[in-house]
Amino acid sequence: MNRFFILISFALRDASKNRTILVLVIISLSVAFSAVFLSASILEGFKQTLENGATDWLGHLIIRPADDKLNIENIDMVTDELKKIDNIESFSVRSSAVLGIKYKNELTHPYAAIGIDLEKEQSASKISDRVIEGKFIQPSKPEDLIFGLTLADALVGLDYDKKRIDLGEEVEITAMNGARGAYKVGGIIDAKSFLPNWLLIFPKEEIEKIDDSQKNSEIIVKLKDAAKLDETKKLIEEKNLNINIATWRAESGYIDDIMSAVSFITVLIKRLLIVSVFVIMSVIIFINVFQKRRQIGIVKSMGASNKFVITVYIVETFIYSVLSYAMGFLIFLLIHQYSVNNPISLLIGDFYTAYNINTVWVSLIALFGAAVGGSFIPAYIAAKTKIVDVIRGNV
Amino acid sequence: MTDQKLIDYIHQCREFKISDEDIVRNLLSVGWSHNLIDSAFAEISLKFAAAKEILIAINNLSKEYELSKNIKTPALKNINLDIYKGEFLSITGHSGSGKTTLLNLIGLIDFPTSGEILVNNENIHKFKEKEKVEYRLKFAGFIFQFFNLLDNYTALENIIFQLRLQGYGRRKSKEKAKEILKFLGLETKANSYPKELSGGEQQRAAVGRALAKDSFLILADEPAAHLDSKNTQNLISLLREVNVKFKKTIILVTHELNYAKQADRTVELKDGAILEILQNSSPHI
Repeated sequence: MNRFFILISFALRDASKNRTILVLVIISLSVAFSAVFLSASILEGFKQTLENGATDWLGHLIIRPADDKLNIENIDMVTDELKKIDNIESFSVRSSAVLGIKYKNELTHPYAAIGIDLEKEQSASKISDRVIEGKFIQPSKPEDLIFGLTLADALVGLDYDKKRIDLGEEVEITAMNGARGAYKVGGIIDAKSFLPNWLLIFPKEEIEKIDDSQKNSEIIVKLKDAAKLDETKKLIEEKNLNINIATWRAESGYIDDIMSAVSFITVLIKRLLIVSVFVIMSVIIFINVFQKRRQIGIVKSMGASNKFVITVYIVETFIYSVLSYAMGFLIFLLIHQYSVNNPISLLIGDFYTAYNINTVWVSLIALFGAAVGGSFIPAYIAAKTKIVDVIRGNV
Repeated sequence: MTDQKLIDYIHQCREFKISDEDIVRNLLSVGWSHNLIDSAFAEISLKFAAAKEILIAINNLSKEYELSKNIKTPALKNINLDIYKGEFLSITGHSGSGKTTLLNLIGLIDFPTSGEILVNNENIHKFKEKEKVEYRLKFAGFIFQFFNLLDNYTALENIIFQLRLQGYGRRKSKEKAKEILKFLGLETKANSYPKELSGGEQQRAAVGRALAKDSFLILADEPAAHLDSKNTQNLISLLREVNVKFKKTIILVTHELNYAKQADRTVELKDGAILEILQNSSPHI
């Protein structure tokens, strides 16, 4: 214990007496540390944005008819069973159809449409919060339809040229069975996700009036605890309800593709930063010990072992790292807070940085490992300083 | 024939921790002649040498430095020397005579080409790394030409650091370090950093650091090289006092013969070999 205190006090004294080095080390390391956190939080933020884009539209689980059927025939039984499962917060039954749109006397090719129960949908998805123009489905105005942003753009020309069909304009809808109906543009949504932005959204009863061939075609399920996704899926499957159950991730395969691309880049940046921390620490400690070879020789002549000298510089690195880590984390938190308050609007959703405690721990261990590892070689070289060189005044 | 009364008086004075310098002064003041005082000290030294046990035995020690490939220069040639426990030994000689090399070999900070240095019948140059560290920590204390105090530590902290390295607790080290500084007359400079101390004060602090070691041996390599004559004499007297009071064996390397002769014995080196070993009669003040 006594030896430990001497080590700490020697390292602290050494670190505090070299304020220029201390400041340089802390600035460079804290910037590197914050960059590591930031790269991890960018990845996490992208992941969260993509996940939110999918779950806000699809919930956590999606139930569809078994085999090639178009309807969940035992819908009452299924919904009754879903109500019994604790981890299910809410669910919403949707109907689907494929409809042609006639706008300004031009008939388009068929588009996918869904019919939703407004009240249930509001508790199971966030699609109703995504209105950018007009209003979402209103029970009092069943003739008002909601257009996905990309679809609304596509009807008048180029995507995202800011020209889209106007609110209140009339459209004629034609079902595959020949049924037709006149509707108005009630609102436009930007779901920040690819699929819903191509959708035409009806009140559930209204779409079933035109085409009920795909009535009750899917149920989206929102969970209380998303971490128990697979567990809940298995629980529903065990009820043998003759349905297909998919997770939101399985439904959104593109997310994994995007994530793996983003992940590759951010992991690469993170690793490069960790290597740079290793190099920074090596260089700094090397310069530090190079200047202090005389002192190291004196300490050795006083009876300090090589192990003592190595440990002093490792402890010193540890001190630098703790201070830099704290400062780096503070810098990161400021950037993170700014990012949360000012999210960047992307096609895939509102992006802001995100982090979880595991990321912080993993970064902490990796960075400490890099810093301590980086200081070991110069500390070892320092420990090999010959006392005789100090006595001769050669260092 | 030396007067036994004189010898007894010197012994008694040393028991009361009176320095040799003061003993000589007292004896001269009461009318003893220089010759009688010198012969009394010489006899004490001879008996001391005969009675004392060997602390370090140096056998056939040689050291060569390799200047470049195939060019070697001898620094020490076949040195044989016994150093006694409690002895104040000086090593002198011209520049390049090998005195510092000999000291470095005894201090285990350089390695011989051949021969051995035995401490407690063990060849110190065959020690493992851990034993070497232990030797430097607990057996040999150094006083260097360039003082070599730790710059970031005050005079007091330099001594505390040495004590704590040896395992002393915080409070005990502080108490002991303060006692040492008091003994050295440096108590008012306890909180001064080396750069705030004069050369003489720095060297006294360095003596204090060597004294803080639980070592038997103090190796002083030209400790007065950067001091004026007054400070040099003070330092030599201080080393003698340390030698008597704390019963430390002191090996002093100096090129100045008048200081070397204040030790019990003087080993004179020339071209890496022992030219002669002188039994000094008394400290020359």
